[in-house]
Amino acid sequence: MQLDDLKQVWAAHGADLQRSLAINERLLRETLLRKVRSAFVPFLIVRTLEVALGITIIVAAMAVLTNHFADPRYLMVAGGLAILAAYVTGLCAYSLRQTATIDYAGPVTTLQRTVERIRLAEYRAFKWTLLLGIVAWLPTALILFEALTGFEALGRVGLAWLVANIMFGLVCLGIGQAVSRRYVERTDLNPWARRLVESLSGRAVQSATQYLAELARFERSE
Amino acid sequence: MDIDQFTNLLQRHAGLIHKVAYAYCRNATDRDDVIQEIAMQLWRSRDRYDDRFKETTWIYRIAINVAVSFHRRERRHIHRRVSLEGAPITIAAPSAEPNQDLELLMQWIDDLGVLDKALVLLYLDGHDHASIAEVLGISVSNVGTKLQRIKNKLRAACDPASATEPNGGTSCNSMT
Repeated sequence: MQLDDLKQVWAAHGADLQRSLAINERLLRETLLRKVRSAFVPFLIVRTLEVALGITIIVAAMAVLTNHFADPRYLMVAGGLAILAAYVTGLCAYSLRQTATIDYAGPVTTLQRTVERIRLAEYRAFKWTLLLGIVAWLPTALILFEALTGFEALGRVGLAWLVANIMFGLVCLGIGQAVSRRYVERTDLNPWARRLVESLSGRAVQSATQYLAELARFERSE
Repeated sequence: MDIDQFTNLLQRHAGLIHKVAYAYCRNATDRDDVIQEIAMQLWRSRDRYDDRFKETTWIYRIAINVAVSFHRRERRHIHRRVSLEGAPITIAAPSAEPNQDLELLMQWIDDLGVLDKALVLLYLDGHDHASIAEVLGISVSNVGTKLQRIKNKLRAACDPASATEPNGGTSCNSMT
């Protein structure tokens, strides 16, 4: 069988499919005029809130850091938080901007690369937020508390307790990763659980990176 | 483009849209979702339509982009569905019974990667190399190289089958 021989089969198939598609004009009119716009708005609102929250955290961490610049504990915790928040906020802002301007009428390889880069940015933002939440939620909470109230919370917590808390977070993270690797192949998970296990196991980033490499290979003229 | 012109455009190219959806989704529910999503993206992009390109090039780009994105997304989130109350575009079962050659072709297309699949769809629809390159965003020479490889792959896939089925049966050589 040659590919060229199949063009007629394919054309007949197309003619058959053309007849099987029915358009309800009234419903189409309603859907396009009402839903197309509204479907996009919640996504933009969530992403904008994420960016706004990220900027708030950066400002809070920097404010606390400015007051305790000479204290290594503050330098490490507030400085680390500011850097991580800046990274995650940058990823969210990139994702927001790209999504708002995405053009599906672009060449397939270009559009697919844009979509996958957006996904990759989202996965990375989610992964680092998750890591921060599990491993360093206490120092983060203390810094934000201090920024809000002015009460020197981090300075009053014992270093040993702080370290023990981070160690406990690391153990939880290890267990979480082991469990997520076990469940990542399951297809019956709800979208939230799937996002969680794919992020924790590293599968999401790996899959996006592989697809970007596949796109690059496809584009390469060899 | 107003909504009447848009509906008209959808009707003129219903076969093209359906073929792309059919090639990427063998499941009828998924196909339904992809077709609604293609219609939505076409509507969103209507003001950015560049009339230097052919209408079919524009539609193909959007349809393939939506179908590939959907395919990649749904592979991971099988529960996620585009929920449009009362779908404006409905699909009836194709009127003709699928013939053996078409079934073989669809099976073979199913086995291709998402990007090679787009290349083959365009080729089967009679697009020349330049127009395929325009839709996919790759060079014309690259289209030629890839098509040759795909043709060789098809030939290689067909040879063992014909060897094991002396009566023709469901083998690839029933076409030749």
